[in-house]
Amino acid sequence: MKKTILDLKVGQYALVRQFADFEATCKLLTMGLLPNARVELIRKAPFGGALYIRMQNHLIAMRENEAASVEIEIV
Amino acid sequence: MTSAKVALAGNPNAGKSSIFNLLTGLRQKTANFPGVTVEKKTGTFKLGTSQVQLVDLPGTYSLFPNSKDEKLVCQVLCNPQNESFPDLVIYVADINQLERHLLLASQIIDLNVPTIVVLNMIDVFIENGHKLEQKPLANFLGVPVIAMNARNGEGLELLKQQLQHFLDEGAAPFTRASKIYTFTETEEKAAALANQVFSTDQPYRAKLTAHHFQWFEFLPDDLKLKMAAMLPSTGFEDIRIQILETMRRFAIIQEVLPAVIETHTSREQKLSISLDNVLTHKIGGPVIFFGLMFIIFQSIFALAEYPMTWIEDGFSYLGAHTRNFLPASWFTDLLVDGLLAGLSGVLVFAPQIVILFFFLALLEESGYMSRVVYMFDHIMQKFGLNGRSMVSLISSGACAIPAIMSTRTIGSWKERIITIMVAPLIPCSARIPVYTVLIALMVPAGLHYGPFNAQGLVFMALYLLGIVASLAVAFVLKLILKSDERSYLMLELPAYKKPIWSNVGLEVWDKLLAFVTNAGKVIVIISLGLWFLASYGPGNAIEAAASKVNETSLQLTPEQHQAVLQSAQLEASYAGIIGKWIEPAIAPLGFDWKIGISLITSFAAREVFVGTMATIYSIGGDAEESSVRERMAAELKPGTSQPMYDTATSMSLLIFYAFALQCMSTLAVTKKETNSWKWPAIQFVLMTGMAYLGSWLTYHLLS
Repeated sequence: MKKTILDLKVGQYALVRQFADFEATCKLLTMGLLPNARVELIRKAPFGGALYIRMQNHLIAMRENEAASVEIEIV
Repeated sequence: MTSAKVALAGNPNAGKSSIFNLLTGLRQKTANFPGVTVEKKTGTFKLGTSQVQLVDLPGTYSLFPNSKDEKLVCQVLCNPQNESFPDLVIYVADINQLERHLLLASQIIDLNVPTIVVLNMIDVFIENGHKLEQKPLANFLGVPVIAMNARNGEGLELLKQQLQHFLDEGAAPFTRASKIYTFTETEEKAAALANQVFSTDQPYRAKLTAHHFQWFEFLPDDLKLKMAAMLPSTGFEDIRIQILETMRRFAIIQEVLPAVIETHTSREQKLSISLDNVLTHKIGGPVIFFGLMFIIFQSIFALAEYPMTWIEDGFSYLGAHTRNFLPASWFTDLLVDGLLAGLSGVLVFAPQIVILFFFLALLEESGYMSRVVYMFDHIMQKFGLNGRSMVSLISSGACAIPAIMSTRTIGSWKERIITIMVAPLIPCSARIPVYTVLIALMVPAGLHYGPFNAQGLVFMALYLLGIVASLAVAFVLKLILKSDERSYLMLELPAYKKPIWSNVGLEVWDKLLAFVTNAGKVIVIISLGLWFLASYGPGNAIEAAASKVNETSLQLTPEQHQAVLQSAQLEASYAGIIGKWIEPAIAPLGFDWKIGISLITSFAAREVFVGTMATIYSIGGDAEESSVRERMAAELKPGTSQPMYDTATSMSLLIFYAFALQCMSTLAVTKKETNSWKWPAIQFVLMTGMAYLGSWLTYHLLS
């Protein structure tokens, strides 16, 4: 099983490798989730479901199913 | 050139509207783009001897659109015949997010539309110790680049100089000689085909046409069919090639950037993350949010009270003087009781709208609103809503009209419709006067349960009922409505920043104007209609009723006489007839024809109920709530010694007002926002049905 952003623990860094979901990819790319981008999981939403992620120079929130479509390599 | 059309384009949160405001000031207006409910902000300003027309295009990430707003921008920029197609684009990028923001810039430049690139928020960039090399960036982009700080207007003069330069010299210095992005063989073929079918000679526009021709509204259907038949032979796969292009553009940008900017992790971002440790904390986050909401609503009600009284007093003063000044005639009545009363009914909500939008604009500008969306997205999802719905439902606590207007940020059609449908169930400020009068009839003023005031508890219970009902309806709609459209959260959490006050001010002004003009039109028309129904009756019925009162009630004081007269005339009017006519339908709810009239008149707006009751129960001119209450409390059920407003009837009426869509303006706004009569009709039937059923159940359980 390839690891995705969903597998990150809070405070863990990873590099983006690939996208599993064709339809979501455009959206992810335009938000700056590019291959080789460095992502860090900052925290999870109070009621679950959403992740708070730091990228190189901006912060984004995404749903768990969106996170599950981004394959990563934990560093 | 003596006049030019200029468009502002850029990603969301790039600071476009600040620059728009800097350039146009108050000479701006908001409308919709033709045929779609996408906000179109336009403004004008003078530059030397030329007139510049500025359009603020909605925030866009790329020309591969994911939302209605983005589709619109794409259609404007890909169609030189579009009325908004610009002579020049001012592309606004946040220099702190340069990599991402250059994607759309590179696409627009490749369309050969003359462009100036503005690098906004240079102050933050420099404060964070970053460095910018402007020359290599301008060389790479092939168009002029300006560093700017929209906060204090730094760089504005340079931008104006460049605009002047464009007006004098024409497009050449503002267009790149070659494309930034070079096509692959497949892309070449697809672009050539689009050129052949649609005569789109500009290469990148041709390529985008190959991607989007199916939904481009400006292309003729027969050519679309032809294109659809021929495109597969080129091996062109829409989505896959969109992704490839986007990634290749980013690769090109990433290659150039190191020579352009030197960055470190910004202090600003670190600060935002620490602030979010508290503001989006598992427990602290929601607690702070609800605390903030509590404070905001307290201040809306506390602060709006005085200006609302002034507006009402001002209008009744104006009405009284108009009556003194003009001869008594139907025209004077129409002016005073119809038009002025209607205007007063609209404008009385202006203070609450101003205050609410002031706070909302503040939360939005500071970056907090995105955190609210993030925190509550998951819960809202369970009810078929989106995290963004949270913002709308909060606004609905003051008034459903701005709430429905604010659903435009919700990308998914289904989630947006559900939000619009349930927003009016959240108790708005117009229910407060109705609730106050009716609760006082039902619950004795001094009654306490432990430390709690009984009237206050009923009030709170009604609020909770509204919230629970809206979530329940949302849940049911989620199960009923079908949509293949995927919904995304994917949300940028902008760094926290101090709000720009002029932006807050303009936002509030804009929303107020939209409310007064759009909702105002409808309310005025309806109040004119209601005035007619309440002032006229068939034949000489009204005169007959009046003379009957004149004969019988001789021993009354002039005020009392006037009051009884008004009441008798109302009973004889068309409104009275309609009230009697619907009585059989509302009798099962415990209502009589007098309440019937109020239900009809308060269809314009809920708070009209109190005024109508005042008229019916012959209090005359003075519509003090206490006096309405006393009169209503003294009313007996016909032929009995039971009070008319016993617990069953009062509670039933309360439930009716909690659910019923007694608000013309809401229907008007829903019509406007959904572009169809279908949704306001469903909304009306649904809510009235809930109200009827709820009231019937209440009345039968309690009596």
